[in-house]
Amino acid sequence: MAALRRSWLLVNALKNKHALHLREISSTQSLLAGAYHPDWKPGDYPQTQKEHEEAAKKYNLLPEDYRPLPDDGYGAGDYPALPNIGEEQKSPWTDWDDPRMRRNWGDPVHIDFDILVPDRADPAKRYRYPLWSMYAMFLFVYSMFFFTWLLSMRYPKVMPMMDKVYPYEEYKVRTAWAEGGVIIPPTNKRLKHYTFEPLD
Amino acid sequence: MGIAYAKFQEMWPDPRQKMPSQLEVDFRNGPTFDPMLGFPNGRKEREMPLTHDEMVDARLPFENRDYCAHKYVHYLQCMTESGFFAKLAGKCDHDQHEYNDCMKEDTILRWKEWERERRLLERRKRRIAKGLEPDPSLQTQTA
Repeated sequence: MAALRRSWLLVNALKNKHALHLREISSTQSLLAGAYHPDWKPGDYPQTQKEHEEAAKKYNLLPEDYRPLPDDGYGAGDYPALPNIGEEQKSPWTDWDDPRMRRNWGDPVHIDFDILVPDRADPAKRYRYPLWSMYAMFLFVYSMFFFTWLLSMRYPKVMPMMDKVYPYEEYKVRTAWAEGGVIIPPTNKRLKHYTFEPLD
Repeated sequence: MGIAYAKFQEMWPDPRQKMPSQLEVDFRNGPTFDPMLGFPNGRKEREMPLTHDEMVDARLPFENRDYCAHKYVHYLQCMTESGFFAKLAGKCDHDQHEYNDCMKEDTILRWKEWERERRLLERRKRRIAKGLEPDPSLQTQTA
């Protein structure tokens, strides 16, 4: 109930400002993330040379360097396609305007800049060993375990056995609780036990 | 938790009285079948070279007063009589090996007893299925 009222208030507040546009998002938490300012929305995909030059000027790029993202339905209009270089790969020693983002004022920002960081989709990630070597090592070790398991299938792992037997009844293993509260002292009788050899 | 305890007591008053079912091997109470079943001429008995008085005089612990006590006594005598360097050189290895052999035979007999019990219980199950023996699960319990 409170969440419904909160979302209704938020949506109405955003609409009445006439400053932000909303996408069709149902969750309250995502409404602000989904809201955008119309001034900063990218334009349409450039069709003519003139639109191309205008878009390049808008993004602070030379027209020969400017290349829009492909127009395949997932693109962002005339937003440029920049190389996948994260901020961590740029030099820390140059005098950046914004040292944290390693970006100067007016630089175009990659459309996926928030994931090109070392703990997410790091573009500078390299494996220490070649992939074929890693697969081969895994298969080698796993095949050792598998081979050992195959050999072990012939032999039982658990061999159950009866309790130990004593010739004279003078040893009681169980506690008083198991015997009903009182341990009856054992008589030192000689008990009979047999082997498995038949008398001929 | 008190309710659970009380209900459990009502359902199963005395856990000690859990009688093993007549269709499962009970390793604690030992074999339930006649030892001579399957041996028309009988079985050999296990021999005990030591008498009770000798075991008491040797002051053996209770759990060592089994069918391998004579080997154990020889081993203990060797260990007490020989010195450190003699034992290091292997003076008591023969007695130890003899004792281990005896214990191995004892273990094998325990395996065999369990297996015998299991096979006789399966035979009983087959006989119950054929109707030659009464089914123990159908009997009513007396209070």
